[in-house]
Amino acid sequence: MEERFATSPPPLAEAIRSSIPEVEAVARLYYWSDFTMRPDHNFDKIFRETKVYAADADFFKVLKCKFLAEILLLRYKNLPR
Amino acid sequence: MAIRYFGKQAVEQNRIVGRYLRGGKDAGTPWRVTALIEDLPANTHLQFEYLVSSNSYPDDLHRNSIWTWPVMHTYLRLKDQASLATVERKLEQLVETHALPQLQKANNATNASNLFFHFPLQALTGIHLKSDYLQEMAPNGNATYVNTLYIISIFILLLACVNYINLFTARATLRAKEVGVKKAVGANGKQLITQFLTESLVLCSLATVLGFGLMQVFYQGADGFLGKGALHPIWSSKQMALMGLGITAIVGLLAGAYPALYMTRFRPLQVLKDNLAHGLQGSSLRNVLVVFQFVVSIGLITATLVVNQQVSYFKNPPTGF
Repeated sequence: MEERFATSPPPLAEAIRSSIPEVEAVARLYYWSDFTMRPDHNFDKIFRETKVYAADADFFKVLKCKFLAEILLLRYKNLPR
Repeated sequence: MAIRYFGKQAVEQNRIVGRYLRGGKDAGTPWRVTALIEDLPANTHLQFEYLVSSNSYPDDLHRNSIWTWPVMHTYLRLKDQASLATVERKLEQLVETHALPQLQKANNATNASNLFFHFPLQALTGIHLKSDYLQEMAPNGNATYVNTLYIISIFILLLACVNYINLFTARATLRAKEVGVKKAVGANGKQLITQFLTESLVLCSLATVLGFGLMQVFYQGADGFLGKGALHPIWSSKQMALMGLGITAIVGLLAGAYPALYMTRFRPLQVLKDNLAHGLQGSSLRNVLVVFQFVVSIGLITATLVVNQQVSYFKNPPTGF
C-alpha cells in the first residue's frame, strides 16, 4: 500500500543540514497540541489555543517574516521551564 | 493574538516581548514571548497561531531518530545556485543510508527492493493546489477545478469577442456612410483601423471597470462564502492589476481587429451610392462565428444543467421507500 505524507520523520532535518550543502536553511514544524493559555498579568483571561506549532530555531531563516518586535537570542538563554 | 492577551495599547506601545504567557498541561508553565510577527495572510498554507521553540518540547521528539515515522513538516530554503536534481539525489542517498535499513528492520523484510520510501520536494507555492497528502497543515485546493474555471472564463471572453464582432459587422450598414465620407475626404486605411481599434479598446476598458465594480459588489457575498479575507489579497496584488490590463488589451484587440479591417475595406464610391448589398456580401466568417457562438453557449449551458442535475441527484437520492 502506498501512503503519501506531507510530513517527514524527525531526523531528516538534521541529516539534510549535515549532508546537503545546497540547502541554506532547514526547519521543522510540528503540531504540538491544544493549549489553555493566560497572560501573566491577568489569570482570569483564559484562551484555548488550537494552532500551536513547535518550530526549529531556523524557521525564520526558511521563511522570511516581518517581525514586529523581537528580543535578542542571548537574552533568553535561561528560559524558565 | 497579542492584542487578545495583552490589549491593544500594550501592542502599540511595544510592551509585549519579554512578558509571559502561562499554559501547558498544568497551566503553570511560563512561556516567554520572544518575538511578535505580523498577521499571516488568510490564504497562507502556514496556519499557525503561534510557534513554540522546539528546544522546549518536553518529549525530546525533535531529537528522536526514528526514520519511519512521518510526524513533522520539514521546510528547506535552498541556496540560490542549488540545483533541484542534486538535492533530490542527495535526499535519495539519505533514504538509502538511514531510512531503508530501519524500514527493513521494522517490516522484517529480507531485501529492500520492494520497499517504497522517498523524500520528494514540494515547492511551497505549489502546496495548496498540487500537494494533497496525509497530514497536510491546511485543507488543499484542487488544481483541476481552478483550471476548468480558467478554461470556462476564456471561452466566455471569446464568446463576448465574437458577439462584439457579429454585432459590429451587422451594424456596419449604419456606419458605412461614415467610412465612405472619411475615405472620400482623404483618410487612409491605417487611420480608420486605428479609429476602430481605439473604439473597441475604449469599450473594453469601460467593461473592465464595470467588471471590477461588479466584482467588488459580489465580493461582499463571496467573502462570507469562501471564508473571511480569502479574496482580499487578489485586490491588492500587482499581478492582478497587470492581468486585468493585459486581458483588457488582448480582448480589445481581438474583438476590434476583424471589424476594423472589415470596415476599412468599403469602397467609398459604392457605399456613398447606397449600393451596400455589394459591400456586405460574402462574409462567411460571420457564419462561422455565429456557429462558434452557439456551440460554445450550448455546450456551457448543457454542462451546467447536467452538473446541476447530478449534484441535486446525489444530494437527494431516492431512498427506495
